[in-house]
Amino acid sequence: MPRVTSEVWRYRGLVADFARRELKGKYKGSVLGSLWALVNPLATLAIYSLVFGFFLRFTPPVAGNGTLQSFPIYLFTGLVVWNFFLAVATGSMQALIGAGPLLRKIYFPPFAPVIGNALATTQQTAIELGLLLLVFVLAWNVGWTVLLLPVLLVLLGAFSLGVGLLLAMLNARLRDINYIVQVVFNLLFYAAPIIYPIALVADRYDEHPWLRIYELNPIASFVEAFRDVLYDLTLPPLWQLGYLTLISVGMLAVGWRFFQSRAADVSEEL
Amino acid sequence: MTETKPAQVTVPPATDPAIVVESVSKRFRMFRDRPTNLKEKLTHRSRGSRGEDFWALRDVSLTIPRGSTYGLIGHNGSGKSTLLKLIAGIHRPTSGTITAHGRVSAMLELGAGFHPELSGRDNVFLNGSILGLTRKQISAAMDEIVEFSGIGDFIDVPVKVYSSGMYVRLGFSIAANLDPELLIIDEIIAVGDEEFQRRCFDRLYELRRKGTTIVFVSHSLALIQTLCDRVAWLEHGRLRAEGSAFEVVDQYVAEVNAAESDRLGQGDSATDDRHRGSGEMTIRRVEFLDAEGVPRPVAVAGRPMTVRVHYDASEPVTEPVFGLAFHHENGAHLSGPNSQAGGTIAGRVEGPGHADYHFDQLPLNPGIFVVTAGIVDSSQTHVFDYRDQAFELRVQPGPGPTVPGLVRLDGQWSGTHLRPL
Repeated sequence: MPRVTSEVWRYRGLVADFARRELKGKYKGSVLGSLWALVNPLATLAIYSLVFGFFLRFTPPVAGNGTLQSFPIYLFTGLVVWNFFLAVATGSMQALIGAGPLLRKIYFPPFAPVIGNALATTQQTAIELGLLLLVFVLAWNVGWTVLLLPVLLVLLGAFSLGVGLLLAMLNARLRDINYIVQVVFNLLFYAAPIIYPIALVADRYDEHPWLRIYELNPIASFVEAFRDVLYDLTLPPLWQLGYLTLISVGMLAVGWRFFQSRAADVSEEL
Repeated sequence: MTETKPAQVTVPPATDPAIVVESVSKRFRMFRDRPTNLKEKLTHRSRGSRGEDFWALRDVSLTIPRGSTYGLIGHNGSGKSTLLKLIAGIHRPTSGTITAHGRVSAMLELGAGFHPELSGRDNVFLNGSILGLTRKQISAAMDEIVEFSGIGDFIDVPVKVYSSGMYVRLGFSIAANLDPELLIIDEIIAVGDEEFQRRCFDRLYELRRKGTTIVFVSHSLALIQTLCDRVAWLEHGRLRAEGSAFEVVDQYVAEVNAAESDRLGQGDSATDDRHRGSGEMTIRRVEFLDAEGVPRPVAVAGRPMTVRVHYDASEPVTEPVFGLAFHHENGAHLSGPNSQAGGTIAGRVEGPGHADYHFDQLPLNPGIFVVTAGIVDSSQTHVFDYRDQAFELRVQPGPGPTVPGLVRLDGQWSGTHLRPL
């Protein structure tokens, strides 16, 4: 583990430059620039709010302050988590493929563009998260539980990067992975309580006991933990924090090891 | 597959090599239809067809001394570029080890790492950090890079609007101005206009003086001989010869010429219009000798040079006439001297011998020329042997100023106001 961090630290400048290149290059030439980073999630938020909140009348639970009950805010909390995971995991694949022409010409560690992409995504998520926190402050729904937020963010980052490293390397060898991932992630999105309250599933545990595996879905677990801390203003149960820590560290370790074991030959695959 | 650790840092031994290549082999898998998606992969598996192996390098060992300029020569596909990529750490050897002492700066393609939407300046930072430098080091070199590339204010404009010339100029400036310890170049010197090329060479010479180890591939033997201390000759992935630049290039050229004359010799002389004649006398080979009478693959403009035609007469021939023709590679016919017009006569000829055509000062400008050699009878109507444009003559720059054009004329200046310098 210390070897890993020193390796990444040694190339921190390069990782940062890849992140910069990603951020600077992405919205160059567009008038609104990085504002576009917000347009997409806000549009999704609007559509889901309209369809599920207004037409289908999903009622969210009352928030921690006892008065706030807003489907868009409830939804936004979950979407921030999902958008970050999705952007890191799928962006990693593109980052490695995109660095291909470069990797064939110059030696540098292939993890640099992948981690750089994750950093760039983090900055965009920070904007979304800042907006969300602002909404919570304006709605007077803030508690001490928010102190747990950085911990959850680090865990989510580790988990997403682990998945990203794994997928990026698999995708370098077999380009199908990209398409498989699109399908799987679509399922994963609906298998987590993002656009609907978890009560919809939890209420039927008595009927179908096997449904309990639903909560083992790391994404579901992350969404629940973020909602606990930000929306409900309660602490997530300890077992859940333990589970998230375990799966995040485990995922990052697996992703990193797999990535590094094939990194030396990846320039021939790209 | 043997595990190797690339570029491990060890204490340099007494001889102080910059790069040590030890029995390195590199295998590439050649898939006829390389499965890059699952469907192909599954169907391929079931048919049990696997890729064929292609050995780009086999058991190559060499040591590149620190501070030397090292050239790699060989035909296309001989493994030169693969070796460069292994030294640069882009690929790893299938077996064997490569140890590089120092920071490698590879120019396998100029401007490879440019992001089109970013400005030249941002790209300099990106490329610099890929080459392993810190932002501080890059900032320090920035002015020099901009100055050298000569792209001026365009440095703050996205590189997508650059002309292709500006693109490679900036790429070369980055690689050559970031103070590399090991510089690896893959046949890219021919970039930009003549002025920029000259600056590239000046820069390479300067790096050489500073003790930078330079490894490069080139098909220009003249360049290799001018620039390199040592040369490795690769053939079909194996090391054919290694040693001082002049020796190895001479060997290489001798073999290329031999292969060439074999190829010509095999052709039916009646139908081969590049090689015809009745054959009583044949031209064995043509050599270009320097002032010391040593055959050289490359001649130097303005220096003494002798064209030596080796012949063999299988039966006695009286008064044969030797002729030469000099063409520039662009096709221009420069001159066609012959031994009769030159005021010599051969008498009765039998067995092997040679005829020399000597210049005190080679009047050709740097470039590539082709030489035709022929032997005819004294009436110049019967052809014994004729090798049409069969011998390549490369001329490299010599001492003194060069004037434009293909040849140097032997005129003298004088006049009302002119006096010798």
